[in-house]
Amino acid sequence: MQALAKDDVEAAYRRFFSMILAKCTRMLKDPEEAHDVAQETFTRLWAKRRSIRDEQMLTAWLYRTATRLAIDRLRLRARQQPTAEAEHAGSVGISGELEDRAAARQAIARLCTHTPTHELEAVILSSVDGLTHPEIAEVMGKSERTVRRLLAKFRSATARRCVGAEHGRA
Amino acid sequence: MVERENHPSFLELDRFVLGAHRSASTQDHLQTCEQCASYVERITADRPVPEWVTNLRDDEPWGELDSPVTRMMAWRSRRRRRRRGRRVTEELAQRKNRGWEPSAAGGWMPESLETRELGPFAGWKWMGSFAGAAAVVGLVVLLAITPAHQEEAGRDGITAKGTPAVGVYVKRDGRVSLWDGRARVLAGDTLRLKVVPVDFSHITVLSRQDDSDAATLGRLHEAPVTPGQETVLSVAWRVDAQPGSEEIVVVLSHEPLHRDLTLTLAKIHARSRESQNLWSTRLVLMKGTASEE
Repeated sequence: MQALAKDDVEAAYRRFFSMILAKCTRMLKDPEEAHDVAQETFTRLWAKRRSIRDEQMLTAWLYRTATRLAIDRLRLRARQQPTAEAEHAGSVGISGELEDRAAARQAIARLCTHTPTHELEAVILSSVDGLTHPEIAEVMGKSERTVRRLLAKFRSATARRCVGAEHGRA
Repeated sequence: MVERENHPSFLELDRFVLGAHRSASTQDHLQTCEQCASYVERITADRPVPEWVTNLRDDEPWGELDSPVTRMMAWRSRRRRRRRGRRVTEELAQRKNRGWEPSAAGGWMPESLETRELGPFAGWKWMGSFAGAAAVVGLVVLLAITPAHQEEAGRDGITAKGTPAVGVYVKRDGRVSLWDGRARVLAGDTLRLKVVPVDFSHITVLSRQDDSDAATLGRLHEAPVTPGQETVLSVAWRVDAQPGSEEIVVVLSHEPLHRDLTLTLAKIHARSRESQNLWSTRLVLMKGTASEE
């Protein structure tokens, strides 16, 4: 933890910000929003630097913090643009499988206002960042069993919404 | 997860780059996978350091906060901890073994066992989490919170529910207190703003040098804020020794104010009246001397 231990903010920025920005861009796609969230995450990292022991702890903290800030931003966007959510209601395949990151982002954006934060966190870490269940459990501070349960809940909610959309169109 | 089925997760790649966890399999993968190697190259590329980062350089951790509200919150936190009893003790033991500490604000966060704060203000770790840099500008102070365009806020900054609000923390001689709307500030006091942005996402803090509404306002600070979340700004200001008063204007908006835009109080008032995209408040600082305290 050289950069943080020496209180060298510029070195810390060079070392961590690109990684944070890449994480935020995966979640939000919009470059300006991603940069805003990345900036907030880095600012909070700098404020907390003295209580972070090592890189393992730091990355877990970064992933969790950036994910939660991104969720806040997605919910704000959904509140400001509710019609966009309705228009995309039927765009995920009937199987509800989150087959790629774009589809995962779409499903998350669509359901973010109705889905509990922990569930969204688990889905983002799994479908957007490609974390394994043990990694998600470490980042979220939960058991692997809980992670599996949260992911299953989200998948069934997505599938229900697809079925509902199909019936609506029929 | 189909897309990254045959690749390490981004977390593993990030840890590899930082040296936290360098597995041989990840190293081998990077030598053969163009996609992952390109990602690693992208996040390790050098980038210029922007100004907002250098402003974070000098920071002063904000410690104990003394006010009736924080004392009540700390008491509630202690009462909650007592009620959990044995179950928490056992759970704590398990989590400590995994290197995790409970956050007094709820949830679990990585905390150094050596630096964990115990005591009446443990529930206010968030003050430390928002500690950024104390950009000593020698300006600014908050006093009367008078919203520029409509109903007047209470003297301590409390407004009607759903309305943005700005409050002031004053640090003097190592102690932090919430400004009560009446006290004068002294040279050497450090001030930090707390903002309730409601659904705004950007804050700009400006200084006002003279009484004219047409005078250009100087930009002190601007940054994104999380809508719906109370935020303590990452910068602080130190009161200088010049007598008289100082004013700052706090502007909340949905987008950053254009950098080239010349801002005056009159212009901000006009834009606030025209649309819901801008909210502003003017804060007036009255300075005192130590002999008046």
